Amino acid sequence: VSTIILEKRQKLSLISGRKAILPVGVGALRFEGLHDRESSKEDLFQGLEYLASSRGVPELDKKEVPVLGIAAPSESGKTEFLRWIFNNCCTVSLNAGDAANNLLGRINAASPPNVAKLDRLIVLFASFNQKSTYNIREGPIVVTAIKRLVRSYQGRTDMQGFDADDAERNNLEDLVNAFSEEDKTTGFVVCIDELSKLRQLNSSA
Amino acid sequence: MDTLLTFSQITLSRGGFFAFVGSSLFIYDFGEVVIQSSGRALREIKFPSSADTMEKKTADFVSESQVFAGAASRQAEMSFFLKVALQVARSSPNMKDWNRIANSRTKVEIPHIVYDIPKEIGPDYVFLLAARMAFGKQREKKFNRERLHAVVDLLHGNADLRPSESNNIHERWPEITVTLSLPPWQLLHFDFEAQHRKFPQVQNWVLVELQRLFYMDGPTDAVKTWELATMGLLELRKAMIQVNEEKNPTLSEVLSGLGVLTKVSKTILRKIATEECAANSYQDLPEGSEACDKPCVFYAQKSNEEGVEGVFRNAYEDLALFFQMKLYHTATPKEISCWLQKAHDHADSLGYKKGSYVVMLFVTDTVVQNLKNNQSAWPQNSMVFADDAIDNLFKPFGDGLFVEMVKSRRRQKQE
Repeated sequence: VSTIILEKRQKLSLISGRKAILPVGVGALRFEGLHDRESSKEDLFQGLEYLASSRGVPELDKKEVPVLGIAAPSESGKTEFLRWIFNNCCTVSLNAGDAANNLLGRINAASPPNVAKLDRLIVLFASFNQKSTYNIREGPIVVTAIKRLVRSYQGRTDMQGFDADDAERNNLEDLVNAFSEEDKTTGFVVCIDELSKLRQLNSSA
Repeated sequence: MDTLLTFSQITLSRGGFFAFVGSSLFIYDFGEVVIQSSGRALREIKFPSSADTMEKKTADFVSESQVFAGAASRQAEMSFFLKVALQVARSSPNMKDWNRIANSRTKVEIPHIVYDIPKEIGPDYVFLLAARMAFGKQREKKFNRERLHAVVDLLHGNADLRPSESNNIHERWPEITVTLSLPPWQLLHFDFEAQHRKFPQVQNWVLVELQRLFYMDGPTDAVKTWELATMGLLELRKAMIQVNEEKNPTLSEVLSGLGVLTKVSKTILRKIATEECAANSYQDLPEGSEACDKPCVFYAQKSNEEGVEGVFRNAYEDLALFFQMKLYHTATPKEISCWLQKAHDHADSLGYKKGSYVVMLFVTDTVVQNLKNNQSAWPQNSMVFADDAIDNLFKPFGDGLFVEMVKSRRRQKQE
């Protein structure tokens, strides 16, 4: 019983507050955000619309569910871009504004009429870059990824140790359940910095 | 990876919404992890999107924050050096370079980058890529991981995936076809050791003079450098056309598109560029009767070489190109005719026969229409590079650099 209560509390603590925002880097601050990424943002939005158009399609082929990917050399602002998505495209974010609501509107408009409109869009973030490397001692990388995604909701991307009260979330279903809210349809955008590090999933899957 | 994407697939199928957005240092990583190993697809978010906006934002930041207000010396050149600094940053995706410019306090700090020629591609290919971008002739090609890594990661070039058949989705790997771009500015980011030619297509002096002009001298101290760099650009243009077209261009083809005003015979314009690249020399100008078997730019050293700065021998078959720079003057049509005549007189005095040479005059602060109206008064076999033509010559290294140099000179005179 105590475990169930604890899990419920954790879930409540995660969903009751607005999502924290991640600090942006010096470059983004100096230039007042990543305003030079307009066409990249549009690529992103169109990619999400493309995925939304597949909602409710029963015979969906795996090729029809692409990863939306950014490939660029180091120090070119990839992480900043993902942080921008995290901070600005999430409707439950502390600073949720027009960008998030517009994106939600675009996703709903692109969705087939027979599926429920999304009420909320949650963006989570996990990094596997050189500042937040993965150590095999952390356990399966999928669990690490999920933990990092969950912690990002609280604006925490530090990789120093793990909370003792972290609930066991071993798969994405657990993650969705943790953030879902009754009577509301929630969509998820998961940002993974240096996604290729998850290649270890291929061998462990 | 497939586990995660299967979840996304199932969620979408059931009417939910679950999307993955990922970043990677390298397009091949997506190829291996997403496409090959997982049998999934990639939809590319093009990145970086536009350097123009960042450049403008940096310039605005620098100007609005008055960070250079304390720069006591060379105030007139500030815009020029800022333009150069931005051009360097524009050639690099590295955010640190942008920050470094914005962090400059008392003078513009030009990000200094020095590359090595990657062993995976070699110097001739580096030059070819820059030449293609300078002329907008990038090509799609299949590249392996090592070559892509060399261009994109080591030289900060750019790789655009070939647009896929539908919805920008890529499903095939390793059959990656990309268009590689390497900004011409990158050619200046190498160490040019004496005695060693960095690129087979041009001698080092061509790039060294440009490097000196942009990074060190600037318009104020660039009296000679500017002139040498301009001649270097002419040679560079020839070499770039040579590799792009895979043939030796004619003089007419090298001048095409620059907007040079010419009064030159068709026979001369049809002369073909020599295969070999030009050396430079600071010896006395050779006389017309002196044989010259290789292309070479001779700079006048003697003060009595009146009316010419030098002569470019054997660049186009046996043609001699005398050149004279009047880059620090406001040129009137009458003066231009006079300068051309003086140069012709000097070529004659050195024993060059009519029809064996051309005089090239570089002038600034002119009204092109006035020049055209006065063209009939020029001696036969003359050509004039006015502001637009010189600016076009500088274009591979960024729009407006030459204009900025002229403006700096003007401001300097006023101060």
